[in-house]
Amino acid sequence: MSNNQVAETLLNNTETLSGVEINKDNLDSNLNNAKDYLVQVKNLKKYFPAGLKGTTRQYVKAVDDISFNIAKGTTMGLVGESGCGKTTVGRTMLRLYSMTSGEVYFDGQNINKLSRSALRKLRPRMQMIFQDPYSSLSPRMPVGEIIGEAVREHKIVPNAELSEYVAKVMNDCGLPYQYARRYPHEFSGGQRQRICIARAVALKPDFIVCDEPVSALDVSIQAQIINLLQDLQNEFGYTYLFISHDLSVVEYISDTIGVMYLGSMVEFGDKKKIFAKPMHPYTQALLSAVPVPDPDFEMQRVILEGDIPSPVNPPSGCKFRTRCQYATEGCAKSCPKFIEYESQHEVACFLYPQD
Amino acid sequence: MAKDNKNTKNTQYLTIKEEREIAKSNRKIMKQFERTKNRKNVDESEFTTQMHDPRNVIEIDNLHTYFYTDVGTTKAVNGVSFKIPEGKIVGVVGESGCGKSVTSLSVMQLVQGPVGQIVDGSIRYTTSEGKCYDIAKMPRDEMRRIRGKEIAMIFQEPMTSLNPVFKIGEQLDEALAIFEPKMSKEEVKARSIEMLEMVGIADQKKIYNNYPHELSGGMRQRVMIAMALICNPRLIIADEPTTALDVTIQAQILELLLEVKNKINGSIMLITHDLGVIAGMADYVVVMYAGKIVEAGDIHDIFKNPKHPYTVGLMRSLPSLSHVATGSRLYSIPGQVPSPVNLPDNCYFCNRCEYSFDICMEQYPPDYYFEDNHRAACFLYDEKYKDLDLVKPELPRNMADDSESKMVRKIPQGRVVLESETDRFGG
Repeated sequence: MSNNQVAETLLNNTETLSGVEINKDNLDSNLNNAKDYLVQVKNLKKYFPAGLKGTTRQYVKAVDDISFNIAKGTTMGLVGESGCGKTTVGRTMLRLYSMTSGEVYFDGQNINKLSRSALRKLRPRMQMIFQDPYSSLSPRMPVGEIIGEAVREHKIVPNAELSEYVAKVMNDCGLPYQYARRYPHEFSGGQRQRICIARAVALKPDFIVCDEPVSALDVSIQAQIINLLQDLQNEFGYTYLFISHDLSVVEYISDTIGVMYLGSMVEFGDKKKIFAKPMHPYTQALLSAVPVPDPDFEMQRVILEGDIPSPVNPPSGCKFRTRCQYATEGCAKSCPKFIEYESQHEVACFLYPQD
Repeated sequence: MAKDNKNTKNTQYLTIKEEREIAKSNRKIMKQFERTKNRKNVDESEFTTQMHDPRNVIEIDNLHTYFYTDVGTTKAVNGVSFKIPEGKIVGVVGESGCGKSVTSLSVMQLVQGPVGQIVDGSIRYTTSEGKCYDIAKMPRDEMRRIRGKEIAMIFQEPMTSLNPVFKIGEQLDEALAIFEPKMSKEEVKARSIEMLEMVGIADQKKIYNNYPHELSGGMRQRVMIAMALICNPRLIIADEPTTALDVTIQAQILELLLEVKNKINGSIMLITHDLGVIAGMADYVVVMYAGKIVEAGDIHDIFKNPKHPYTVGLMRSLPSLSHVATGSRLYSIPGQVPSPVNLPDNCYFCNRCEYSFDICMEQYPPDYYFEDNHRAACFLYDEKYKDLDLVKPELPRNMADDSESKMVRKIPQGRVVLESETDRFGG
């Protein structure tokens, strides 16, 4: 088992290498477009070791060969079930996790090849908003300090103007400056999420990874936060990676959408195309499972059988085949290729021609 | 809780002395409640009542559940009345902290004592033997005969509500062993396995011997449902049964709930904050805000013709297809829920409400009835203020309209025919 696993990992790695070369050819043809992309992810892989040391080493393939691009000033939504690796993608892209293999280009620089000091210089330009506003704020720091700390560290503004700058950022995010000396526990969930957003925005970033920023909030507060994120984008031209499991929110906020299943991207494309014409059976099932707030709406639910398989031992071939009603024998043998069938719409499924 | 409201600012910080005084008087009150609850051998006539309508499974009438904390009395449920007819699903919606969970815990008499107490009101329930009891007045001993057997509950977090040190089977058997002492161990086990089969667990005998951590989230929730159904309850309280689950698993669980409801012919009280789930499941909806019901009615009344500004606000803040199509901003209800410790005398929603007028600042509105069972607590519908030409909240056209112009998403199944292909064949 262990040998197989290692061999497979090696094999995958070599595949990646060849995959990169192929992709480079594609890239040359798209070179003009490539300039518009702020973030480019190529064959990103992240494996976490599982099991005890000394025993057979297994790997949780949290992210397995993912490629996508995000254009400047747009929002990409990343959807999928819990445990499919959405958050890992977000974190690996910011090099909060070291990647197993693959490349992430941020504004033309390969962030995996950067030295510590160069990465540090790049850090303020890539920020993250975390999922839980209750656990991601230090309870022992006043809000002004939470927002201002990184600003001072990275010398975004001269120290003399720091408090003024923090006040401006707080104001942008809908927090009165009088709150700067209060502590996080004195705020409600929605306000805490505003603090998290202010902390990220204060560094004048280009790219923000929003990791489920609204899933811990109530509906009425959720709308406030989404509006805030959109206002900020309109004003300052941020690029977002919006990770969420709530499809209606993703549909509203995103320009492009990537659908993930068990560490792989199964469908990627323009929002309108994906929602109008979901091609992958998993995307179809996911969309049909979204509850519609309309009692007259009769849904043709595609109910998926069973649960998401373990990422340690994913099914061979197409990973979705165990739950897919269209699966054939061929699906178990090899992986479907990720092919662009119409402009801005890529799918990996054997239902569609593979050449 | 937000403490930036002007009216709560003065009372935000209490001196130690004040706090002690509150604690002292609280202790007195709590002791009294606990004593009445802990009495033994109470005569049945004391808590026997009559149902107002025999077709209802449960009637909650003017329920008040308070929490006596050291900073003041939190009125978590503050005069809630609704009923659940036999074989129907009643949905309770509201934001976090509005008292939906406390309402359900009151019905089960599971409110965390001695701090939390049912202070006033009645919860009338008819047992399968045909006796009608008032749960709010029942002593603790007597309640044990109803809880779990007649009224069962499915909790939000399947991981925290299953005991990690016992096998699934043992936890399932426990309830039957208590309520059906005549059954032998083998019979109990057979019944448990049958229940696991009923909730769609494939390998029941193996799962019976598994521990909770060995199961996935969806499986655990299925086990929870099996556990709730094992004694054939007449009423199931589902407290956010799918909030911790993914959409695809949520669809499975909701389907299962509908299926088992029909099988055991019971009623469900479905608590959720997801209006989409309610729309697909419930027959009757109750909208709660700050411990009170602001609107209640038939599912179609609530979704097609909501009356209370809060209900309308909730509906409008959901991202809908029309938002996506036009790219318009989401509506958001400004402000925050008032602190439940210092509730004002006026309408609790008035400072967040764009339709509020003078009277809203002065007193809490009574319920105004519309057709059927539809009611809303809002002064906009008072006949007295008819002449003022008040603007009433309305849903955007496409949400209220039944016409064909409504945007409905059709999801293709299986292979999608691409445009390029149709071109090829067509041209």
